Parts: sequence; structure tokens; C-alpha cells
Amino acid sequence: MRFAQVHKVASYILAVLGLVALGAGGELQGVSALLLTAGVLASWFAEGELLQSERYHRAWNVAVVLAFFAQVGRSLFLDAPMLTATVEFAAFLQLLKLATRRTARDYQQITVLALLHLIAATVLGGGLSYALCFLGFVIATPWAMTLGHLRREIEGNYLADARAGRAGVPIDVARILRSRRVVSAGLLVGSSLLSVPIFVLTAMVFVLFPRIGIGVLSLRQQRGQVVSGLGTTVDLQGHGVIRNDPTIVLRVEPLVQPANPPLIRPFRLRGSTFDTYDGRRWTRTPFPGQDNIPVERQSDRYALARFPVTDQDTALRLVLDPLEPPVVLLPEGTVGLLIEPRLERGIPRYMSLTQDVDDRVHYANADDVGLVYTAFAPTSNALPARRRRPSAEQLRLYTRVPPDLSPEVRALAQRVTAGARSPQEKARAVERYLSTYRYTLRLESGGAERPLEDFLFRSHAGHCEYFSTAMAVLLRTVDVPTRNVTGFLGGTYNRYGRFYAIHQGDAHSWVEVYDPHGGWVTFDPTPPAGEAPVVHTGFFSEVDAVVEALRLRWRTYVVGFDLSTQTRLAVRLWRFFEARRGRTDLDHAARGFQRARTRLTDAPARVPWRSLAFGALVLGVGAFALRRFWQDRGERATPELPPSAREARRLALCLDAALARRGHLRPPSQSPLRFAAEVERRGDPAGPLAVRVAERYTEARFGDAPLGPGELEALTRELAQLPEITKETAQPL
Amino acid sequence: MKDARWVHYAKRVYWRMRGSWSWVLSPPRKLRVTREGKVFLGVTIGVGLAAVNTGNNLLYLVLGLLLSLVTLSGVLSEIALRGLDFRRRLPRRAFAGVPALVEIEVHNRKRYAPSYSIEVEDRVEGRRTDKRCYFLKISAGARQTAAYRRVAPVRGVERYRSLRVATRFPFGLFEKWREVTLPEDQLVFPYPRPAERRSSVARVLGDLVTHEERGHGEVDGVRDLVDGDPVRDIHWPKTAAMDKVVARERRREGARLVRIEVPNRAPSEPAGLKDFTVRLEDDIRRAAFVALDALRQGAQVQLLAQDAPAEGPRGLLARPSTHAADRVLAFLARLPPLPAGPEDPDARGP
Repeated sequence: MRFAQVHKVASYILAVLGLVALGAGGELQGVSALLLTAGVLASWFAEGELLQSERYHRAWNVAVVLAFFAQVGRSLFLDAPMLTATVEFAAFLQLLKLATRRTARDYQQITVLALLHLIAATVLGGGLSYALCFLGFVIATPWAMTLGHLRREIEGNYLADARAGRAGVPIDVARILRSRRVVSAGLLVGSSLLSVPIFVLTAMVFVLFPRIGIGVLSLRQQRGQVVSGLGTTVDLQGHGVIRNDPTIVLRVEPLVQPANPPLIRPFRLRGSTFDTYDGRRWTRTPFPGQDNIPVERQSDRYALARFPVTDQDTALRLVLDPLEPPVVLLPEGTVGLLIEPRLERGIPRYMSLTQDVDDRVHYANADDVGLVYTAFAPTSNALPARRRRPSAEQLRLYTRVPPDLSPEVRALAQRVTAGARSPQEKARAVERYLSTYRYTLRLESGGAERPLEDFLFRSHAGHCEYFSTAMAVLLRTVDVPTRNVTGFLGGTYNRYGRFYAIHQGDAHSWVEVYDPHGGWVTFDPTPPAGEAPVVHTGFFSEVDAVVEALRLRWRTYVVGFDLSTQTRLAVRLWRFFEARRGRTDLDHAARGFQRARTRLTDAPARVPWRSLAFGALVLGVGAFALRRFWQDRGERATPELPPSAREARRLALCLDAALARRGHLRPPSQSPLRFAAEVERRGDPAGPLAVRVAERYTEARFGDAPLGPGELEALTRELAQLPEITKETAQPL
Repeated sequence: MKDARWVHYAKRVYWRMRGSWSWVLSPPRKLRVTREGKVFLGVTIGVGLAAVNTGNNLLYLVLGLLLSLVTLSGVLSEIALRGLDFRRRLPRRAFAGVPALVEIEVHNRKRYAPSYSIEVEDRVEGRRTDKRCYFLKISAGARQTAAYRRVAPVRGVERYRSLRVATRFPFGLFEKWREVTLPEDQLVFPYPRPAERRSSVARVLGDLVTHEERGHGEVDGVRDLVDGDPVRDIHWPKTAAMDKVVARERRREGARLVRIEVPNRAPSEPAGLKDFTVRLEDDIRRAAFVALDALRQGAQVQLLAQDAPAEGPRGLLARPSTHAADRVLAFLARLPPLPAGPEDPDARGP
């Protein structure tokens, strides 16, 4: 291929990868993304005379200024997000460079902009898309940079030859750029293979670089995906369609897996509860003083009902995507959690958990990493965790029904629960009754003025919210305290990632019934057909599974990589190498690592000023030493002067000394000739001699007229004969 | 007493490193960060600081990419510089102040890897020349030659000492170079300057032979064509037979001895020192012109320095021959100025 073509392709690949990485965070969407794509495509065809046209370049310069002011105007007056406007402008700059690429410098700027886009994308997010772009960068960066360098050298050297009339025929740069001999297949393959060591080195730096996390200035965004049902209200007239949403919210990894894990394993994950139903929507009543109670913590363990016992309780590891609101989804019967701290600003940051009066658990300091935690539940033969008992005030809330509730509902409840005595019996009766209803995703009662009544007496069909609402309200009419619970029910096995994926579509709703003797008991009136997780099959679902597994790995091993993981990795490596060496006494070293890790993660939360000061001192000393080294190196690198220049320099030194004796000190910024002229202008009798000597020095040093034999000595003698002048008589310059 | 383990290892490291200090302090390769490299390193440091500050792992990833590019740059530039042999071809004649072509030949001894973007620069008298040869690509096993124009500022021996072989390959972030010792001397002739026949600066004794008319004189043989020979003197049959341009050499009955004296001693009075060097060079250039002119006209030339230098002859007698011009120019090229003082009574003759 021709050099220019290969270089163009490589630069475009890099530029597009940078733009995709930039847009993967979601800031480039809709019209801007379309315009950008069209612009990049059109810029590919800008060639030849068009690129050389000054008018064309001027038009682009005007366009970039207009774009700048347009983005500023959009942010200030049209309420466009500043971040979006900035990202769009950054993308436009790349488009500008692509459309006006003319010389090696332009191509270099394309490469630099692409790298800056990649860097900017690190704070914009992008998940697996970013990972793919990064991989592309690993491959394409050596191409673009190597070819860019060669092009610069071609333009610099051969143009210089032509200008300076050097040896040989002036070589046409365009002809070399059209040449097929410069870029051989070997160069392309070689630079492609460079991606392997680059990848390995990148991985090494990534793994080995200590994760300190000073956090003086953090620009990380706190964004999570909004999950229906976990907010402050649940509207019966909404939802339904999320059943088919395949977006993954949570991944569940049982720590003990059977050899052939079942494809479907329904995990019930509790999120929020609601106590008040007004006839259309559920709301939750805050209880100041009883909500947001910090969860008790010991090191990395949190006690919801009690602290987990790791060797007795059943454990599930959960990887939760960032959620809005940040609710900790808890498997049934969870008594405690284990959450490893993150090191930020050089200190361990433990997740702050709070618990509400209805046992809902929140996590604070949410960020774009989400939450990884291990939930512990008692084994099947142990007593399950009990939820906290409601107060009298709460009991009143849990039995309150809408004031305009239809009498038919009360009558139905009476009829269904007739003969049942305890709350649990009544609940089972209602559950049995509702099982005759039909599950549907269509909002058949959604448009009704009274959706619950419509569901119970007309449509007899609805989604989980209708079933749970119906059960809760029916039981409340017969004085059984209930609350509506939202969360997730599902779990589809991903054999590539060895985890169960919980999707948005697995959002579910059920009921908790309060029995004064047994506490809160969970009932799920939704028919089984509606509870069953949606299983997708086929080629695309397999691809989805692979992508999802990759996403989890990316998130676990790249995005979530921290100092704790590093120490764990170090322990593993240590064990691995020691085992290869045949050493069996590994516990000592492992304990040492563990102690160091514990010391690090359990350190009190304060800024390590001493360490920072020491680090700054080391950096300062290092910078000083480096500067000295470069200075010395520069002096050493000064080429040795030829004898004639050395003699000239000696003459200048003699002149300086002679003038200094007469009270004239030459500042370093002044040349000997200028200084001598200044001395003469002041009226010093030595002025003419100084000027003559300075002129001779200048000729000998820079004018290819070296000092003749004996000339240096003669001039020095003349200078030495100048009488000394005392300070009193000297005229300061 | 046996050392502790860490002391033992520290000693081993020390003894191993001890011999390497000279290598560390004066490595065979030297490195300079280019302007692009400074920008790149700045971005790398910025990304590193941002990564440490925020703990954002994606920034660590980018940092790893940038650092690996820096590392690879070092490896690839080393490969580009290795396995190269150099040869310098100096011009047969070089005159002070006149551009002459210096050829640099590079042989890539590597079996598979080509070398890209190699820049070769001569070092003369320890100083870098301002011209350089650039080789875009030297394929594996191939030889390439490039030339640059060298203008020697003054006559005399010009000492080429080494070549500075540099590359900015592959990314242009760093310039790495090494010195290749390749000593060679070039005698730079004074460039002849036309002079009046009875020049005051080059005192010509005896009679100058006038230009011969065409066809006059008996042909005595052939000799190499020298500058100024008329084209009509070229002996075409011999030129074809000898594969070089030769001219007829005629015996001149009226040939004379042309004696040229060059005053090379500096005046004793300091006021005259300033102009002495310039005047001497001018005298030498005029003497060269007169001598070559005389030789071309078939006269013998006797060159005499006013005073004998410490080394070398005081004078030279050149008869018209193939190499006479070169001998004359070489003598004049080496003629040194002498410091002011009494004339040497033991001045040697030619």
C-alpha cells in the first residue's frame, strides 16, 4: 500500500476509536452522534486540491469558533449539560483535524486528540465499549505513531534538502508519500505485533502500580441506572413493559456451585417496602429517628441481624451495578454482609450502610463502580433471620386502606378469608384465591380510575404489582398488617461467567404479612408463570451471555481493581511461586501479607500527612537530582571547541579581567564587544583598546579569522599593561 | 562471622554494579527527549497523577499504555541502531570555502529487520557539522549511500573523527544516538584566487611563460586533465584507452622556473597582527593560483615559505606532471603561519 494511504487509514482508525470511547459514556447521542458520523465519513473524501485550499481551511477555522460559541450558548441559555457540550466540542475538534489534515503535524494532532479522547473517556464511563476501544488503541496506536513519525521525517528531511540545496536532487515529498516501498507488509505486521508487548506491559503496569488513591481532586461521576420499584413510589398505572428489559442489574455468584448449575435459579432479592396505598400508587412513610440507622460494622463485616459467621452461613457474592436509589438488594434471610473497603486518598474507605425501620438497606458514597458484597444467610436448618417488629404507629399504617376503597373489596376479602383464623392462614387463603388470576404484561387495568378494583372484578389479569397490591389491600381490610415489597426475583445462569444474572426484567413485587407470633412472613401471590425468569435462547442470547461475562470480568478485574485485590494477587503469586519451588511452609508469608493488608485496611481514617510529606520530599530531591544530572549532562555534551576558538575565549577572559581591574564588571548578558563599546562611551582611556580586543575576539571566535601566532600573547600583554583603577575613581556602568 | 542474608545480597549487587558504573555514567547510547516526547511525557505524567489522585483504574490502564509505548520506543530505536556499518567517502580534492560532497554509506547487517529513520552526522574536529544524511529505510542486508555538502572553512588538515548516528524511530518521542568512531583526515586545499601576474603578495621570480598558442610545442606525453586545461588539449584516443580524461603534455622550450615566495612569519609589531592571518590566507590563495597557472603553462614552480615551519619542508619544486598541482596545493594547504621573531638562519631549502 502507499504510505499516505496506510497512514490515513491508521489515523482514522485511531480517531474513530477515540470518538467511540468518548461517546460510549452516553454524552454523544442523537443528532450530534449522527452529524459527527456523517462528518467523519465526509472528511475521508477530502483530498487533493481541496485540502490545499486556503479558503477551505479558513472556513473550518470559522466553523470551530462558531461551534465553540454555540456550545457555550447552549450551556448557558438552553440548559444543555456542560459536560455534553464539552464532549461534543471535543469531538468536533477531531472532526476539524480529520477534515483539514494536510501535513504530518495535522496527523500528529489527530493522534494526540484521539489519545486525549481516550483519557477523557475514563471519567465518562462506557463499560465494555471502552474496553474494546482501548484494545483497538493498543493495536492502532503503534501504527499511527510510527507512520506519523516517518511522515514527519520525510517532510522535514526531504523538504529541507530541497530548500537548502543539499546534495543530490531535491526529492519530491509527495512522491515518497505515494511510494509503496516505504511501508512494507513487514512494517505493518511488525507494528501490529507490537500490540502484544504493549498489551503485556500495560497489564503489568496496571497490576503492579500501587493503588494509592490520594483523591485531592476527584471528577468521578455518580450515576446509576434507575431501577423501577426501588424509589419512593410505585404507580400501578406504570411498569409492565420492563419485564422484557434485558439490562443486567445484579450478578449473583454462589460461592459453592454444583457441577452442573441449573439454568434458572430464582433468587428473591429484597429492595424497598411501601406502607401506604392511596388507590393508585404505593408510597413509603418516612420515620424520622428510626430510619437511616447506621448498620453496625466490624472491619469489613456488617450486622443486619447479626454478624455473619463465614464458615457456617451460606454465602452469595453479589455484584451490583450502580443503582438509583442506592439500595442494597438482599437475598432472602440475609443476616449480615461482608463488603471489602476501597482505598481512597491513601486511607481505607468502608461502605456506609444504613438501615430503615422496614429493614431496607442503603449504601452511601455511591459511585460509578456500584457495590460488590457477600450476603450471608443461615443454613436451612438454622433459624431464619427475623425482621424487626413494627411499632403500634407502624401497625396502624400497615393496616390502613384507601378511604375510597370499594366496599366490594372488603366483601371479597371477608369472603376469601372466611374460616381462616391466624394472619398467615388468611394470607394463604388470599394467595390461593389470587392464583386463579392471570398474569399479563399488558396494562389491562392501567387506564382504569380504580386500577385495583378493575383488576379484582373486571380484568382478572395484571402484573406482579397488581397481585401484590391486591393481596396487601385485601388482607388489610381484614386487619392483617401487610406491606408491599419490591425487588427482584430471577436468575439466569451465565456459563461463560459462572454467575446468575438478574435483569431489569426480573423486577418483582410481593407481600410481607405481619404475624404477631411469627413476625414478618413473605407471600408471593403472583402466579408462577409470571415469576418465572424470561429465558432467551439462540445465537444472539449466547453472544449476550459472552458479552455479559466479559463485562463482569472487566468490571471485576479492571474497574474494581484496588489495593486489596493487589495484595490478594500478591499472596496468590507468592503461593504459586513458592509451591513451584517446592516450599510448603507458606502460611508464614501469607500471614505476613494478610497482616499488612489488615493493617492497611483497618488503619484509622485520617490523611497520612507524614507519608505525603515524605513522598513530596523524595519527589523534590529526585527532581533536584534529575535537574543537576541534566545540567551536567548538557555541559558534558557541549562539543569541544577547536583550538582557535579556545584561544579566542582566553582573549575574552583576559579582556574581562583587565576591565574588571578598572572597575568594569561585564554582566553575563552583554557581549564583550558591546561591553567594550560601553566602556569606551563612558570615556575610559582603556576603551579603544578594549574595543579593538573585543573586535578581534569576535572575528576569531565567530568570523573564521583565527588569532595569528603570537597575537594572543601580544594582545594579552597590552591588556596587562592597562593601569588598575581604584574604586573611587572608577565610573560605574 | 557470617553476614545476614540481606547484607550478603546487598554485597553481591554492589560488586555486580561496581563494574557497571562507568557504563551507567557514560552509556554507549545517549538520549534526548524531542519536543513531541516532552508533550507525550507531560501527558503521561498528568495521567499518572490523575490516576493516583482519583484511583480511577481506567486511567491506570491508559497510563500503562503510555508507559509501554515509551518502553517499546526504547527497544525499537535500539534495534534500528544496531547492526549498522558505516563508511565515509571523502572527496578527492576539497578546497576551503568550496562545497564538496562527502558520502556516507550505511550497511544494514541485520538479517531480517530493516532500520528506519537513521540520521548520520559527521563530527569534524569534535564539532558536529551542520549537514546530515538521512536514511528513511535501510532494508535488511542492504547498503545505502547518501551525501552531504561539506564546506571546509579553512585550508589545512580537517580531521573527521566520528559519526553521530541517531534515530527518532519509532514514535519520534526520543532521539537516541551513538558515536561511531571513524577517523579520517581530509587535506583541504586553499582555493586559488586570481592574482595579477606580478603580484606583490606572491612574489614571482623569474619569467612566467605565456600561454602557448594552439599546436605549438612538441607533445611530450599525456597527463591527467587539471583545472584550467583547455578542452582542446584533451587527448581523446588516450582518454578512451585509459578510461580517464588525460591531456596532452607539451614540451615547452621556453619553460621557466617560477619561484613563488609566501611570507608566513607574523610581524613583530602588534598592530600588524590583526591583518596578518587574513593577509597570509590571501597570499596563499594567490600563490596557488599563480602556481597552478604556471604549471598549466608548462613552467616549473618553486614554492618557498618565507620561514621554515617546525615540521615539514620550507619549499617545494614542482615540475609539470600529473600530480604536480596536487603537490603544490598540498604544500600550500599545510603551510603554517609562524609567530613573530627573528628569521631562522637554518631555514631548510626545498
